[in-house]
Amino acid sequence: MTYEQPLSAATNATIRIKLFKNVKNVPHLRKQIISGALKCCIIKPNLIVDPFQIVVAANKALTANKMTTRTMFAEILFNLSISKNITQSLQKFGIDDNEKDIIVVVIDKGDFSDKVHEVYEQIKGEEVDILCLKDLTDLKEVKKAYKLSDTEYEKLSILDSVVSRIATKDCI
Amino acid sequence: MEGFELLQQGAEARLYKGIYLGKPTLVKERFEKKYRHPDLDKHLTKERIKAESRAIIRCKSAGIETPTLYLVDFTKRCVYMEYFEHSITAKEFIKNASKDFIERLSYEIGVVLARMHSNNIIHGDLTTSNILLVNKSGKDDFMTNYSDLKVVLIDFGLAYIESSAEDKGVDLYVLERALVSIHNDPEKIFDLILEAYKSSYKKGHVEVLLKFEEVRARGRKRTMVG
Repeated sequence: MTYEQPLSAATNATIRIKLFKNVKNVPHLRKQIISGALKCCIIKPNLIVDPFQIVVAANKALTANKMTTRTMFAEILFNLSISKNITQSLQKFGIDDNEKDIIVVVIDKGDFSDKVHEVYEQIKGEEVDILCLKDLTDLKEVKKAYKLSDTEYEKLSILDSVVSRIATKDCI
Repeated sequence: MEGFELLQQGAEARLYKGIYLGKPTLVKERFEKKYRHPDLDKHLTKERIKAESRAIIRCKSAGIETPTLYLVDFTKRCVYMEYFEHSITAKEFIKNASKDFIERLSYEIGVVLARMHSNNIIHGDLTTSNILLVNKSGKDDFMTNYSDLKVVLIDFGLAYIESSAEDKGVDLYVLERALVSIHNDPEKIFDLILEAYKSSYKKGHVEVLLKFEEVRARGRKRTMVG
C-alpha cells in the first residue's frame, strides 16, 4: 500500500509515500502546508512515473548542503522539476485547489513519528494502493516536463531517464 | 562508505558497490588529490563530475543505454549510479561467445557508436571493458539467447562534447586497439563495427573514417614535429 524507503544512511530518515483518491479537503490541506502546520509534501500524480522518482528527489533534498527553497517539502517539489525556477516547479508538481487525487509524502526521522500519523488523519479521502499511481501518470506530459527526446522516449526506460534528470539537475 | 564494498581503485577514483535507495548501486568517488591545492582540486573534481554526468544524460537523449544516475554529491565527491548485476564486459563476452553472437554484438556496437558520434559525444576511453552486455531478464547467462542482452556504455569519466572528426576517429582507434589485444581475428570484428557505423552514421562517417586512417597511421597522439 505505502511505499517506504530508507534514504541515504547519513540522513537517518525514511520516506513514506501514499496515494489518496477523491480527496475532499484539498484547499484546506494546501493552506495547512503553506502555514507549516502540516508536515508533509503533496504532489500532483500526473507527472510521477513511479514512487522511486520521488525517493530520488527527496534524497537529494535531504543530502544537500544548502537548500534552494525554504522548507524540505518545497525542496522535494523543486527537485522533481528540471526547471531552476522555484515558482514554476512548485506549480508544476504541487497541487492546486481543484485536484482530487494526491500523493502524500512524509519524511520520518524517527524522532516525531506520532506527528507523521497526524498527517494522514487530516486527509479526507480514500487511500489506495500506491501501485494505482501508474493509472494516473500522463506519460506524454512527463516526456514534455523532462524534455525527453523522441528516441529516448521510445528506446529507454522512462523512469531511468527521469531519475537521471533529477539527479543531475545542478550539473546541466 | 559504510555498507559499501570497494570494487576498484584507480588513479582518479574509487569504485564501491552496495545497495542505495533499495537499488544495486555503484559509487564513483573522485577522492581528494593531496598534491593539488585544495581549491583547485575541489574545482577540478566538480567540473569532472559535471562533465561525466552531462555525457551520460546526453547519451540517454540519443537513446543510448547508460547507467541511471541516483545522486550527484559534490561535497562527498561521489556519483551514485545504477550497478548492472547481471552483466559481462564486451571483453569477456568476445573471448567466450560464438561467432554468430560476436557478429551480432559487433553490429550493435557500430550502431551505438554511430548514434553517439552523430550527437557529438566523444567517449574518450572506448575500450571493450567499458562496453557491457546486460541480461535483461536478470539471469547470469550471456551465451544462450542474444535477444536477452542489451548493450550498455559505461565510464564516461573522459567523455566530452566535440564535433570534430579527429576526436571521433580517435575513439574508433582506441576501440580497435582494445580489440586487437583480446581476439585472434580483430579485423573481422572491427570491419563489422565499421560497416554498421557507416550505414547508421550516413552524414559524417566519411570524414571520420578519413581521420581514423590518419590516426591509425600515426598513433593516437598528434605529431610533436613542427
